[in-house]
Amino acid sequence: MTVGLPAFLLLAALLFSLGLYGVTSKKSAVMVLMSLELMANAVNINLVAFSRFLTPEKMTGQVFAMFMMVVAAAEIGLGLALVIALYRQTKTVELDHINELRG
Amino acid sequence: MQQYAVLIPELIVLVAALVALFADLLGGDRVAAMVGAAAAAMAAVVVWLVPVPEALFGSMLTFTHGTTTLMLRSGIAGLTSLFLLWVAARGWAGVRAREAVALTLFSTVGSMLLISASDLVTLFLCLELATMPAYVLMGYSAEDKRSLEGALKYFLMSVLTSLVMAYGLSFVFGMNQHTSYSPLQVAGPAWLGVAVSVLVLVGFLSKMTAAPFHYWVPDANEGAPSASVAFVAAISKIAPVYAMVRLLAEVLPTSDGLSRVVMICAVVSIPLGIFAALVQTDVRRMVAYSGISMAGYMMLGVAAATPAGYASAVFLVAVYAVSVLGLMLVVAQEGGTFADIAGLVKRRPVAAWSAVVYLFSIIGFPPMVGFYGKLGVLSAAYRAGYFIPVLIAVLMSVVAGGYAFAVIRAMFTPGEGAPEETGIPAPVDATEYPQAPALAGTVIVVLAGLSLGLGLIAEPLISLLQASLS
Amino acid sequence: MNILVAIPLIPALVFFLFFLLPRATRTKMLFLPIGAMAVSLVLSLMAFSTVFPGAEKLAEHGAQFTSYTIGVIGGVPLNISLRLDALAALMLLVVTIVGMAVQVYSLSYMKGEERIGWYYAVLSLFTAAMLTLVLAGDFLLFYMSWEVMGLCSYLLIGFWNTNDEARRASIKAFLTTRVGDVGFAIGLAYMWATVGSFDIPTVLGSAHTWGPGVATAIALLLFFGAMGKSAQFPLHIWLPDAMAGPTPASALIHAATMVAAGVFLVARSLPIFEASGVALQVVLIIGATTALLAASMGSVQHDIKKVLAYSTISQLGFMFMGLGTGNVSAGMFHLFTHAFFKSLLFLGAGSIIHSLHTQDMREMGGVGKSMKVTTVTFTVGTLALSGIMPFSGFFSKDLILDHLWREGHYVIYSVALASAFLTAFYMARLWFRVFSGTPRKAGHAHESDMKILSPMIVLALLSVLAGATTLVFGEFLGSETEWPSLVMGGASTIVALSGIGLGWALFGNGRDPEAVRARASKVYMIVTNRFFLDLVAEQYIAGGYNRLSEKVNWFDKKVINGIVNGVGVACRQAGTQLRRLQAGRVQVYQRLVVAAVLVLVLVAVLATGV
Repeated sequence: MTVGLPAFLLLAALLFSLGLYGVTSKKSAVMVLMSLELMANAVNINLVAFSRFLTPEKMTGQVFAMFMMVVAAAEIGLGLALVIALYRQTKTVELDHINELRG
Repeated sequence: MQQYAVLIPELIVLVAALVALFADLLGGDRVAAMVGAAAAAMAAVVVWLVPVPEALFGSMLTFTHGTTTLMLRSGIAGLTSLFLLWVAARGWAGVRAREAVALTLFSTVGSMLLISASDLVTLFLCLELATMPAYVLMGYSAEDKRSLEGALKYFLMSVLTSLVMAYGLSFVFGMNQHTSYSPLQVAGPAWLGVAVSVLVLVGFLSKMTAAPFHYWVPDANEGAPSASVAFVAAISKIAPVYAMVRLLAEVLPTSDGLSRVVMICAVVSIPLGIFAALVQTDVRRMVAYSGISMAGYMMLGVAAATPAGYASAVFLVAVYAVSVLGLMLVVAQEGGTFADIAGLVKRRPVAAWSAVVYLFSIIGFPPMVGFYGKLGVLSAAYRAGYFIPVLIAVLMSVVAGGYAFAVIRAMFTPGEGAPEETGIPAPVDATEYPQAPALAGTVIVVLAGLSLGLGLIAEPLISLLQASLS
Repeated sequence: MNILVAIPLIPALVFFLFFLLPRATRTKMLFLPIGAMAVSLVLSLMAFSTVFPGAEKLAEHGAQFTSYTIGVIGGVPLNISLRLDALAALMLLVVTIVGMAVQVYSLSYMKGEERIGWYYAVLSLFTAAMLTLVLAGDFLLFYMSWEVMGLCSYLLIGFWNTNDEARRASIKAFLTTRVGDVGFAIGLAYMWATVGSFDIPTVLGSAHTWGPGVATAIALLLFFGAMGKSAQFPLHIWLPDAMAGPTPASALIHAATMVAAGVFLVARSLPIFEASGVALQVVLIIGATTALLAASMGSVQHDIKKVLAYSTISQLGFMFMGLGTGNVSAGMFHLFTHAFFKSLLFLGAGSIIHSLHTQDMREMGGVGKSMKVTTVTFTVGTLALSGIMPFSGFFSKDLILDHLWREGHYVIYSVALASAFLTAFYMARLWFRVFSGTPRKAGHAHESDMKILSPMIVLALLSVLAGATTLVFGEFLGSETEWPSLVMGGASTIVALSGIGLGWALFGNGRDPEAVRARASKVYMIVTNRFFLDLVAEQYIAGGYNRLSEKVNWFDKKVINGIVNGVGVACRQAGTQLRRLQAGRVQVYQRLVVAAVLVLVLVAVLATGV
């Protein structure tokens, strides 16, 4: 049995949805960042799968995925820095408690 | 080798950013800001001097829209230069400015490159390069939890929408099987292409602060240092709007569904932004909401999907940036709440009257330049047959007068406190930073002059943009 | 340079000069705006003489215009132009004469004000805008100057910007007139879409080809703008509040010129209204409603300037009634005479306020003995407004009544007659309270100086003489006017005299209803009051009437004001509700974003078709 392109797309979609769920419902900011990472990886799977199955002779998708990883790593690093800085001030990483600004 | 000369402006700004990072060795904040301002000004000029090739790096960057590309790159660099000049005069809200200057310049490089990006990879990279420094700038007061909270909200919302966009881009790649800009090849039902396009648009809508992706803007604006808001709310909005126009024109399918989505966002954004702006008592929050409504006006032009509509949308975002930059700089030196600016006209008549010019330009009062921008998008949308949305937009622009008047009223009403009795101005961000009010005042007056003066040449400018976009 | 360009340009230049000068220098250079005004006045007279007196000369010299292209919309050039015709020439005279009078008057009235230079600067800008408006050869320039006038009005009402009431009134005035302007702007857009031109002769020439539906829509939209500017029901609420501004500014802007701009707009675009027919009826009805309501509200005010403000609203209603008959002269002649006698009344009121330092009529009294010149001129204004022969108001009001009767609008005619009665009554009430009797709380008055009195004397002369131009006026504008007929003139004179009579009976000789009530038990009452029916009048007629007026007043304050303010409140309410959406929790935002993405994808997919 060969695993085709649809299977990879489905896997990516599942990962992406899982990530979305995590982002919108996890209490801890760290978990939210992890969920964002899941979504980024779903995008990467998509890119690599398209490249592998549709244009196996070129590496475009893989290169795109590399860039995505770099960007995602930078972003998550930045996010963690923000969360830590906020933790120093408020002693919490629970997003529900971070709601001073509103209106 | 010669074709790479086109990137000299970006290179100049990049070098200045690196220099600013090592400003400790040179003498400090003011040197960093001055170097940045000088470099950005130089870049703004050099853009016009270097030869421009068709494409670069195997069409990862293209410069097809001649004049528009040049104008926008030069405009972004020029506004950054004015902004940094002000920073050199006033500092950065009581914190070390040199890293902020470097971040500003990095973001400017991203914005300038984004103008010529014509490949999904460069598009995504430049967009992120332009945005990531902005997160840091919004949370720049690391001791202030409000600033951090706003930045975290900005970060979470922006990354979420960026990833939705990236997910959409991965499908665009899958359908086209390459990453350079070309019309989307949909193998299968048309709605697939449209659904993917909506996912891609989400990222841009969020960056240009359109409803319903706007939630972070008011919170982030209120918490952040006003100087950061001045940069993020004004200058860093220009490039994404143009990038979205390019993507719509060159890649995404023209379909009813897509233009309907853009139109829905426009019709939601305009009233939402204006109504919510009416009840604010903090200019930074008000600017956030007025930016939301302005995104709606831009999308009216985008939805028209004609060269005239695109040109007016791009023109509107650029001139809006001029006025908002000025307004936020006034706020940055005088304070953001209505209580802070009470009686401003007595203390700082120049700043107060300039603020009046900015506000009139923002609400689109003739003969300020904002009026011509709005007129352009409205007539383009009207010509494209969007009668009801245009009617809503026109009616709402009357209501918009309300929030502008609220601010003007606050500035012209003597405050409760004692400042104007003692005659001593009370700068909110009083720091040890050596102030240079004359230089800051010059920047503010220049921006007010632009808000007025660009109005006089608005007509030819829009035609130029339109000619190069069609 | 063309004389037409110079007329508005000179005051405008003064404004820009004053804008740049420092405050101290401005205060020393007040001769500049007055000099500019004088030059404009002379130039206007010259312009007038080129087209006066009649059709032949107009055909020869009139419609000379200067045109500039300011932009291109969709390949069609957008022109602004200045054009001189009979209507414009007439308005030039009104604006420059009243403007001159007010500027001289202000020298003394505003003396010692810290920001007098700014006051004169705005006055100059206003004059420039109004002159541009009357000369405008296209609706675009018309609209632009219309908006500038609105801005000047805002600045002048809020001139005493430390006064909270004045500030609020200025914002209210600006926003209420802006409501009307929205209609005007949409009307202009519709006009552009229909004709593809803003040029006034082109537009008016093609009006009859539009079809009644389009003509009605455009006419009503334009009229909506006129209602805001000319304070017609239900957009009249800003004008009484606008009295918080300096009195001479009220005389110029809120009596003679700017508020008349709405009337001028309808007169200018009358062919569109005629092409519609329905629109003319609407103008008639709104005018009549406003005239009656405002007159009755004017009868219960105690603030002398508010009485005059309501009176202005009411008289503007008369002008619209005149235009509603489809006759240009009927409306414009009243505009012409009203400009003189109403600005005279405002300046007179200003002179009294200047001397007594109060605007409350209950604190005034016996002014007649100490301020002779003011009394005489004010009396001329009062009689002219009441419509007594041979003062000008008699002729112009009669022309309106005459046309209403002849066109068969009998109901409107009787409403107009009732309003005329009330007009005479409230003016008599005002006159007797202020000038007769003995000085009350405010103390003794002293006469003002010549800078204040001389403009009033000139305006008083014009108020007397303007009526004599009845026949020439009609000929000049190219629509028939006649002397009042014996029957019509007699009817309106009787009505006016009985209005004054009622006023005298209630307020003459320093009486006022409260005092009458106090004396009611004495023998004096049995003779005098019964004889004059004072008690009956006070108890039943005046009492009932007062209650009614107060009801109307209440309705006006609560309901109409409420609705207009309500729009503002509703906007703010919408804002407050939207704030709730912004609850501060980032994950709520994120859920909303995810939901929005799903909805948008769904909308797009469904619109494309699955």
